[in-house]
Amino acid sequence: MKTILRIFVLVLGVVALQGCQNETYAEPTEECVSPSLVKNKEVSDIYTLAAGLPLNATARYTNDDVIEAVVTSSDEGGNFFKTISLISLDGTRGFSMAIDDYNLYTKKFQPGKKVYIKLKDLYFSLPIGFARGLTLGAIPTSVQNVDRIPITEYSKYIIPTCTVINEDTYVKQITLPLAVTVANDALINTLVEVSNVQFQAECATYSKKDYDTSLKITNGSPTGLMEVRTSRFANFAGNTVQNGNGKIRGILTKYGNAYQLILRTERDVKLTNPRVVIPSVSLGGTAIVYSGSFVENFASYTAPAAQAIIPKYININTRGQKYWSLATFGATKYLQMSAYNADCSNAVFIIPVNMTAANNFSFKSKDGYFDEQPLKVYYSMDYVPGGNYNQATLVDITNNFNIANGLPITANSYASNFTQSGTYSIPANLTGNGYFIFEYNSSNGATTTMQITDITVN
Amino acid sequence: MKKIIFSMLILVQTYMGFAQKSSGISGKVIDSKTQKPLENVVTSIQNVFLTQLTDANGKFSYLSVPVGNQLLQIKSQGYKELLLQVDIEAGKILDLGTVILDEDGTNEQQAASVTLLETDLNDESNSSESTLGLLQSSRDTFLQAAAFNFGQARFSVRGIDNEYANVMINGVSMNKTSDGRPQYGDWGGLNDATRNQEFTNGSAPSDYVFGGIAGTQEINTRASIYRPGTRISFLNTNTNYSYRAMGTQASGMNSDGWAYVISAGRRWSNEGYFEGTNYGANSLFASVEKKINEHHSLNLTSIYANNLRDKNSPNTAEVADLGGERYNSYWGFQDGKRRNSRFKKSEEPMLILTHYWKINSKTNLNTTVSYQTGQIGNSRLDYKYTDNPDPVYYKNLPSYFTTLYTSGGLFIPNQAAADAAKTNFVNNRQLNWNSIYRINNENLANGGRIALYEDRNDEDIITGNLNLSSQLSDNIFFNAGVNYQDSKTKNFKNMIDLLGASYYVDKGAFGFGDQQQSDLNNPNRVVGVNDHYGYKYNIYATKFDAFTQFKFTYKKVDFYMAQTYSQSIYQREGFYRNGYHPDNSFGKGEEKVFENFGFKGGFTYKLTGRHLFDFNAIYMTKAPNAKDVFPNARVNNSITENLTNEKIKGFDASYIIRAPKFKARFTGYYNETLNSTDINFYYSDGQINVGNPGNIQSIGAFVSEVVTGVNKKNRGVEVGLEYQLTSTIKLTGVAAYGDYRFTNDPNLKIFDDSGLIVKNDKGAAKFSGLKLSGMPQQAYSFGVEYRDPKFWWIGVNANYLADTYLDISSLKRTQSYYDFVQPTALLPKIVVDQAKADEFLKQEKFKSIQLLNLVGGKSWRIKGKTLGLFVSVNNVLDYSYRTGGFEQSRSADYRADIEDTKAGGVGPFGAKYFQGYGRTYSANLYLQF
Repeated sequence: MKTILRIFVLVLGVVALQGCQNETYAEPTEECVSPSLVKNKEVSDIYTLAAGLPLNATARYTNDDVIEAVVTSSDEGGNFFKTISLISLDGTRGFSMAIDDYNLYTKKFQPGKKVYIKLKDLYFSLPIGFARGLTLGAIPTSVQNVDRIPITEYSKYIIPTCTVINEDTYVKQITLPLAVTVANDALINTLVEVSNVQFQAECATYSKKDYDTSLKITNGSPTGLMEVRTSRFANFAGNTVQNGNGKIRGILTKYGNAYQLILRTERDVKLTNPRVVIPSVSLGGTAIVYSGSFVENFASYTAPAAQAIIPKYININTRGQKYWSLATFGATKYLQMSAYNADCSNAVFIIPVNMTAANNFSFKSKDGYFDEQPLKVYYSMDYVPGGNYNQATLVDITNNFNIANGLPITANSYASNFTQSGTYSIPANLTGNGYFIFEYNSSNGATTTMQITDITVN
Repeated sequence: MKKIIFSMLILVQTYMGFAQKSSGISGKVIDSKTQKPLENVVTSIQNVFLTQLTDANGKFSYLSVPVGNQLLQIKSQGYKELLLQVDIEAGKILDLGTVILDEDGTNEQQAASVTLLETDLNDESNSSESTLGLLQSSRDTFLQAAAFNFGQARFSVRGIDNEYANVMINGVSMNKTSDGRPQYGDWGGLNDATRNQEFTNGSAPSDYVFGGIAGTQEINTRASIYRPGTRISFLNTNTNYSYRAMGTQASGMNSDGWAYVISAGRRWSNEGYFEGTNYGANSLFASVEKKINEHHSLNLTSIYANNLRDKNSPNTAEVADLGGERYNSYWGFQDGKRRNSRFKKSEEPMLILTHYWKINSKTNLNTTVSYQTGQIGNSRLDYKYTDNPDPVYYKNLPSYFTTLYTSGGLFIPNQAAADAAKTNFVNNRQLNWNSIYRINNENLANGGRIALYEDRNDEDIITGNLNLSSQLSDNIFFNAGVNYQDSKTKNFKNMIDLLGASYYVDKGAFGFGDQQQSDLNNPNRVVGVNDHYGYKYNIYATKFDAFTQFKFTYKKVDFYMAQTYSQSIYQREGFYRNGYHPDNSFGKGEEKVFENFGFKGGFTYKLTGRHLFDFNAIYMTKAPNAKDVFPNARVNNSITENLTNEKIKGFDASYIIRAPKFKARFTGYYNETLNSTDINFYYSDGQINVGNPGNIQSIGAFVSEVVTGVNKKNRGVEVGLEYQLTSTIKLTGVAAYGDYRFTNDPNLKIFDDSGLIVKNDKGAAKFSGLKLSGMPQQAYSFGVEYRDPKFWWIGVNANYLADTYLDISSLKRTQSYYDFVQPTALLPKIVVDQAKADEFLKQEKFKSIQLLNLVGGKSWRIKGKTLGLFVSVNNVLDYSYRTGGFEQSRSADYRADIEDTKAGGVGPFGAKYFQGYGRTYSANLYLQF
């Protein structure tokens, strides 16, 4: 009997050692059955009908007609919300549908999916405000030309097939700038691709956290710009844009009279080539004066001015688009710069000085919404006006000055008074023409507003 | 217990020395079936403190017993206890001759019982868990009824959570540092091997630990104390599993001083009581003892149990109506098989080495070291950029469409859509694995959208324990213990199955920019099978405690007093730098130290040998459990604000009658737990009031809700009656009437990963007067048992349980319930009708439960072997009832309640309920030799 038990225990033991594995399951394959529908209308037919409606009107489609189309948009990135963009099979016409559901790309409406649309009882319109282009949906609301088709209803109107078309076969190449023309309007809701472009602001996020954001992309020419619009709810909204140069895909939309590119996911951005450095443009510097004794309080210049263009001085955006501006508060005028909502903005303001004649240098500064210290002060003896600023030798003398630093904290987020920098004694070995340079540098993440006035050389 | 016995034997001899002329009693104990003498049977003369073990021939003899009427108790594990009235005459030794002990059905019942324990370890925010596992070895009529008859309805003795109970194996605490509760699965399926148990109720004294207010259970696995023999059994049932096979062999101590016990068990099913629940569990046990000499003995016990259990979903009333009472939303068909997405897998082997040192005849010192390591995983589906795959996701249910509102607050119910949803649900009521694989296959770029993962807790526990017991004098018995436990728990998400995808990206869909990263040190980590992701941290817990206890025994009165000191140290170490908490998640956090004290005492007054009065009182403080120290452990190191020790007060008084034919216990008890902390996590993807009035946002994130300073009061009476009507018929009657409630309005704070909730402090939650949930507060049982001399027996029990309450949503009891946003399109505005609000907030009381249970057994003696059958049928009348449930906190304000009830129903976020078993059976066949 003991043998029986031992065998029993042994068997149990063997079973125990291997018995608690998870069951394995073969990967399921889903049979796809295409609907037995046949198209009897073209997308262009519906366009013609819509174009015949009174301006901005909506009409109900009454005939039992079917069109076929290919999905171009995707709500995977959260940038398309309860809407789906489609094009005709021949790629000539795009349109959109308003559907009251999320994650449509997981419900057999991913990009490239061929679908049938049963038109009867759908509403159609050609809106003239936002979301222009042919749009299909449910009975209109007071705001929308068409409403979203309810979640329980839309599967009766838009029916997926089993065909998925590679989007490389229908993506349309465009060049910048995209002029507003009838021909280009035909591209609305289609998938387009623009080449050799980069984001103008190199370290912006796709969207700001609190509001939807348009970022400019550029091909380098001053007019070769286009807006890429991203929702703050997109799941890539907070990612920093790619720095390089390359291709960007998206769905072309038209808001008012401007075209906007809407990314489906971050994968639509393929900026794999190195960034093309676009030389910054110096402002002012047209009548440089090297003086050994002056006080600059900017009283003689017009303020406010978004860009301080002063012939005696030089204003350069060394990174990003922003320059030092001129601003005024009460009777005081001053230089002002902030990187708030202008990521990676660096700018320098260059004061030519006769170093031989001058002995002392001082200024006043004031901050607003202080977070990090953005101001740096240099002198340079080899900078060449009109030349490449990046090649100038800079000597950092920031530590010689008292600079507004956000303290004491005030109720209105601005310092109450300007801070005297203290006097910097110009070293005796500095002779001839040189430059004092104020740099606003946001590399540390600063978005502080910095103001400067009463620049004194004597 | 044995220690005491040995010590007492000495005491007996001391008595004998003083005896002038012998007045006493003797006898021989044999087994009724085998007719063989029984060794090591405990015999004792009640109230005069005389105890003996029978010798190898089953004999016992007392030579100095006070003259007069005495009660002789004869008991042994596995046998029915005998209580004999004997008349001791001066100068005479009364020879009882042969005393026959019958095998006890309870043991069979215990071995065969498929308790709710395993299913009770239920995850879904149901805080109440059964303490009943530890009652099964108790002999008390009341506790037996609680274990075997009330257990299925989740009765809890005195309404106390089992974190207040101490469960030990060889003195080593099995309560986990995380939540203070024992993990019964660690030795599940080893009923025979863990049968030697000592149990105390309430705050009554234990020799091994200071204890709490919910009793103690000490499982003794010392190899030499097992009755030699072999037992194999096979069980069939239809509860959480279908079959169990078990085998155990005990050698007894051989002449070389070796003893061993081995045991193995396997439990399995393809589908348990609820749909789609597979079960597989294996257990191995070995214990070896080497007796070095009369003073020293070493015992090594190793236990290995693995367990894979599919879970079943708690359901709203709506879902249960549509899907049936056994409906389980967690599974779906794949590959022609039922695949459950939520299973619990545990594997926590342990080694326990004990040195038994009999220092002298009066003093024993036991030293135990143990090591336990292993893992517990609870699986779940992860999903992002896609709809929740749960078939009972609220947008799939008819009630979603009957309670539709525009964002402005206009009621737009859609009956047609509700009907469509109903049809759709009825036809597609299970998890759609096909669709999950399709979505993953269609979106190969950027990784899978839906994945199967497990939340893992991998523990390493080292324990050292010293236990001293000493007979200080004839009347004084002393216990002391020192315990040190060091545990490290690794917590992380572990990828189980990519479900057709080639990888998964460790990045959330919510949050802005870096916030989506679970680990900024490894952004956009690519996750494969068995990779860790999501969160990863260790919790270190160190606990030191010591206790001393004195027990005094006199003729009329026994009393005891005990005191304890403990220190608990907790610390979290994060291995991921969380995107939301970059400065407070990576590396070690603050070390939190708690120091605690406890005092208890009690006495028994023996009016006569048959009438006793027993009183126990305790005051202690208790450190919070690790899970309550770190309110958001998955993402940061922060420590619960204002966290302090719990205060526990308890008192009980009993009147006990012990007559040969009639046994009774009447107990009144009063317990208070003050200042406890309760942290709940729930997934919220509905509306939640995140800030001050007017700032309602939709949140799709795990929310942690921290309730601090919770006071509870549990009071009530327990009655257990047992009457031996004839030698074959026994009647039992049991009653429990309790009142378990909250007594104050604790503070509530709520946190979410994303930091969307700006006003974390929600103020006081109105708990005063609300009832503790999850167990019946009233229970009554009446039983008749017939025990035929021809080794068969049958019993029937009628049970009535009432006053079970729903677990409330704490958030709804705060001011935030009234801080709702007015609908913009609706006029007039919603004005709070307090009477209506009170109605919404009224705690739901479940209907009462009526259970009829049948048990029976028979055994045969075949060629010196015993073959036995034990059968039970529970809930014979197939009475449908709920055992518990909880309010959802998703739509936790007045406006939501008004809107959800407008159509007459409760809306998609109604309470979820746990369904009790209907009629179930179990049959156990065993062979013993």
